[in-house]
This record gives sequence, C-alpha cells and structure tokens, in this order.
Amino acid sequence: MKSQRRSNEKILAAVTLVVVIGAVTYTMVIEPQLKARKKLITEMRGKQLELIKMKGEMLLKDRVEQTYREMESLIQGFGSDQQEISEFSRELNDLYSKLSVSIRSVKILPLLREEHYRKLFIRTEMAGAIRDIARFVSAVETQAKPLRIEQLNLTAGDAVDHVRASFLLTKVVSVERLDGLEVEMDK
Amino acid sequence: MTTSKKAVNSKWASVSFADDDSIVVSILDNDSIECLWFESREQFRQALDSKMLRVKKWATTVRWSDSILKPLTLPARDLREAVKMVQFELPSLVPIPAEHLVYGCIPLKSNEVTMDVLVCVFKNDDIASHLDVCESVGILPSRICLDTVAVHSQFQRESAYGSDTQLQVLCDGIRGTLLTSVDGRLCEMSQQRYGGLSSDERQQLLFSDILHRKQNTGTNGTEAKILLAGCADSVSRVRDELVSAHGQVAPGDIVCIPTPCIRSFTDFAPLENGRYCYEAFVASGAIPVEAGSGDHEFNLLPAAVRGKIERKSLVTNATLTLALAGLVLVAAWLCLIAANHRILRYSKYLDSQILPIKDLAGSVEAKRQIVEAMQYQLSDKGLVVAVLEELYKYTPNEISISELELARDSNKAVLRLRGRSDILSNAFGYTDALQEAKLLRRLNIEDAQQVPRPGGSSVVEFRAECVLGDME
Repeated sequence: MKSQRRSNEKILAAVTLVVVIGAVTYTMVIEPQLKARKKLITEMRGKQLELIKMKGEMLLKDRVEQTYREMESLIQGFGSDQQEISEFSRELNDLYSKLSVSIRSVKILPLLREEHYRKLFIRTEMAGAIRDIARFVSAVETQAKPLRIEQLNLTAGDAVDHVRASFLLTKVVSVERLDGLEVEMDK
Repeated sequence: MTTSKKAVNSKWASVSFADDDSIVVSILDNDSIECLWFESREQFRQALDSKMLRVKKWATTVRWSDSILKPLTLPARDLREAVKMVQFELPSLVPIPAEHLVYGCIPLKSNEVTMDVLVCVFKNDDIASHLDVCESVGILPSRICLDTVAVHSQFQRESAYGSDTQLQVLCDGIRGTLLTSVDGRLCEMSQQRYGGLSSDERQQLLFSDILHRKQNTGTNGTEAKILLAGCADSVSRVRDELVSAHGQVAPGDIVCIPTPCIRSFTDFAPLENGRYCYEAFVASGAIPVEAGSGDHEFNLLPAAVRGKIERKSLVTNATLTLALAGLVLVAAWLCLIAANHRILRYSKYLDSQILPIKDLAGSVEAKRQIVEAMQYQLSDKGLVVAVLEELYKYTPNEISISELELARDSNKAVLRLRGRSDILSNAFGYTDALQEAKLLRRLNIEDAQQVPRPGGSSVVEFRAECVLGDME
C-alpha cells in the first residue's frame, strides 16, 4: 500500500516535472516564435493590401490625371485653415452684398480634414424678399467654384414674399499642391 | 533477425554454453528461430563488441542437475499464485535462509483448489557464478531458465500433439534427455550422460530408459507418443530400433521433431554433424514463447539483477524519450524559424514591389480623393434652384407654403414642406398639381388637419415630403 502510494507520488512528480518543463519550454522557445510569426503575418497582409490598393490606383492613373487636369482650375486653397475660411466667407459676402437681404448671422463650423483636402462649413442666416433669396441660391449654384448648398431652410416672414432663410454651405479646398503625374513618373 | 553479411539484429536471443568452450546462440526472427554457433567465447565477445551481433534481451539456461527439486502441493488456482506461496514454504523445503535462494516453479497438475508444482531451487551463489560467466562474454540475461524446461518448451513448440501424453527424447550422442509431458505440462525429467560408453552400450541404455518410461506413462489405455529429436544419426537409429528390434512401439507413435538449423557465425554455413543439437534445442527453448511480453513465471534471475535491468531499461527509455522530445522541440523551433524566415522573405518581396510605385500611387490616390470630393461638390448643381422653380411653377394659388426644408447628402435630397390651404381637398390636390413636375412629382402629403381660426372660419395645415433620390 505504502509502496503503491510512493509510486503514485513518483508518477505525479514526473508528470508535474514534464508539465513544468513543457510550459517553460513553450514560453521560452515556441511562444516568442509564434508571436513573431503573428506579427510578421499581420505586417505581410497589410503590405499585400497596400500593394493591391496601389496597383488599383495605378490602373486608374490616366483617368484620374485627366479628370484632375480638367478640374485643376477649380482646385484652390493652399493656405492655412484660417486663410481658407476667410476666403470662403469673403466669397459668400461678395454674393449677397449685391442683394438686398439682411444677414442675421454667419456661423463658421468646424472644418472636415481629410488626408488630401479640407471641407469648410459656413451656416448663414438671412432675411429678405423671396426673389433676393432665390437670386442668392442661383448665384451660389452657378458659381464655378466648388460651393454647395447642403441644407436650406425657408420660413415665411411677416410680410408678403418676405422670408427668412438658413443655409449650410460647404466648400472643398486642397491641402497641398500636387504636381502633374508625368513629372512624378519622370522622376 | 536481419543479417547483412555478418551483422545480426534481434529483439530476443538465448545463449547456451557447450562443454568445449563454444557457444550456441538462438536468435528470434519474427516467429522463427535460427541458431548461430560461435567456436569460442572470445569470438562471441568480439561479435558483441564489434556490433556484429545486436540483441536487445538475452535468455540463458542453467543445468537442472545443479538445482534442488521439491514437489509441493499448494492451495493455489494458478501458477502465479503458487509462485508467491512458495516464498513462504521455502524455509521448510531447504535448510538455507530464503534470502540466499532463488527459485522457480514448474506446474505438474492442478485441480479446482490445489496445484502440484515442482519447485526448482538454486543458491544465489550458483546463479551469481552463472551470471559471471555471462558477464565474461558480455551479456546480462533478462531470463534464466532451467535447461530441461527449455527442452520441453522447444518440444511443445515444434510438436503438434500438445495435449497428449508424450515421451520427449533428445539424444545427441553425448547425453540422452527424457521428459514426460502430460497435457503440455512437464511431469518427469531425467538425463543420462554416456561418457566412456561404446555406441552400442549407449543405444542399449537409451532404449531401456525409453521403454521403461513408456510403460510408466501410458494412461487410460492410450499409448504415449514418443517425440524424438537430436542429431540425425541417433534419431534414425533409435527410431529403427524402437520399431523393428524391440517391436513394442507402433511406427505411428513415433514422431521425429526437427532440430533447429545451426550455422557457423564465421561463414554462416550450416553445421552438418549435429554435434551441437542439444545446445541448439536448449537455447531455442529458452526464448520465451510469447517473446516480448516478458511475463514468465519461470525466471531464475535474482530480483536485484532484475531491478538493475529494469532501472537500466528505464534510464535508457527516459534518455531516449528526452532526446526525442528535445529533437521534436528543436524541429518545431526550426520549423517556426523557417516559416518566419519565409514570411519575412515574402514581405521583403512585397516591399520591393511597393517601393517603385509608392510615390506615384500615393500621388494618384491624393488626386483621386480630391477629384472625388470635387465631383461630389459639383454634383447636382442647380438642384436647389430647380426645386424652387418647380414650386413656383406648379404650386396652385390655393396653397401657401409657410416653411421649406431641403437637406442633401451624397445619396439623396429630401424636401419637407409645411403649408396651408382653405379646404382639405385643395391640400390633397396639391400632389395632383405636381404630377407634371420633374423633381417634385412624388411629393407626399403626410399630415393634414383643419385648424379653426378666430372668427369661426378654419384653415387646413399640412405637411408634405418628397425624396429627390433619382435626380436626372
């Protein structure tokens, strides 16, 4: 009975030793390699995606370049955020200064910053005859510059044909000046 | 057994020492047994040292004439139980302390409650001196068996009459060994050495022994079979004499058992003269029938030596297991290293693909993003003007609009109106009035209700919505 117990203890000790050695070996030898492998695979997949994306961009290169060239005259704004907001606000001011509308408020909203362009937001409220408000809308929409009315609210005023209007206007400006692709390719 | 030129490998082999310093080794090859003859112990030792002979486990035999044999009846049901009981009976059998003795048991007969066994007792010193001999030639046996037990085992193995009463005769010209076997159990044994006798005298002595034993072994009126083995000359002479000269044995009662083929280790040529057939028979019988199981009742190997062998085996197995585990670990580690190296190499290849187009693709991407933003910004230019124009053009005089809300996103534009009319039918007729419109033809009146006004009159206030999704 005693020797049986001793034998069981020996087996238990041996199993414990094997488990401990196995765990230590796994932690010291195998696990670092597995971690390194996981990291390398993640990096490799990232690069694969990047390459696929770049190849896709290269396929679109000619079309993008042509469209960009066509729009090049419209793309402006290589100044700071403040300069661009100021310019946007001045452009709007030029539009409604010719009309007999009363500006109730002009609110500059936070801009949206993308990797290669910025989107500027201005909310302006004005009151006046419906005809003048319509002229302002027409002036904005016929502008060659990349201005856009995102929201429009018209509320009838106290007098006939008199309305209060609220506009959310946006403008897209570039972040940096981009050279022609041919120049890049030559490099 | 595998032999390539002279290299021999086997799991089990047994060794039998001949009187002339030569050695016969029986080697287990799958189920068959082959015998090798070494002309001297030195040749055997050299074969082991030079790894020409590789055997995992060795068996050997001791002479039964050196043992003390005591029949004993025990209240045991099987041999295993009987062997354990003998330990307590030893002091009454032999006047030597039990710790100085080694014993084995041969089952004789048994019934439901008792078992008759032949206890075969050796002094430790005798076994130790036999082990010294084994050690001197370079082996440590795992099993030590009695020579007559080995002969009986070999007869049983080669004979097809295992359950009959048999008289087993092994004659090699030097000695005659007679065993009586009933139902596969060894019941009686004797050995006669014929040193100094002429050929005829030896033959006469053997015949008388055989006939005497045969008369005593016939049971229930059935004749005992006579199994003959040994060198070919002796066997044929004994057979002929038994049948013709004495005429007391029917030819059908005599069965000749083949002797294992003995080859010389020097040139692997068979030995022709049958000189070592006794040693070959003993050595072949000493190899356990169920080779590999290691569970044999008859083993005269002292417990200390058995423990030593088990420890050695344990250490060897543990070392091998550890080495194997280490090897597996190193292999796994190398596999991971190799896999990581492969991934790294592929990553470098991707880098080499990316590098030349990185700047250009980056520039294209920047321009594409700007172009897309500009295209969105310039899309649907004139929509607001067009909506106002349609409202002006198609809104009937009975409808007045008090509030207008236009919201646009990348997919659609939604127009919401609040207005008034004099009567309910005019409000719902507004949608009909817009059927000609391009953008507002799907205007939907969502809610309309009559609101009383001061002075008793009333006005209908309504809400309408139009989704300008598919702008053309």
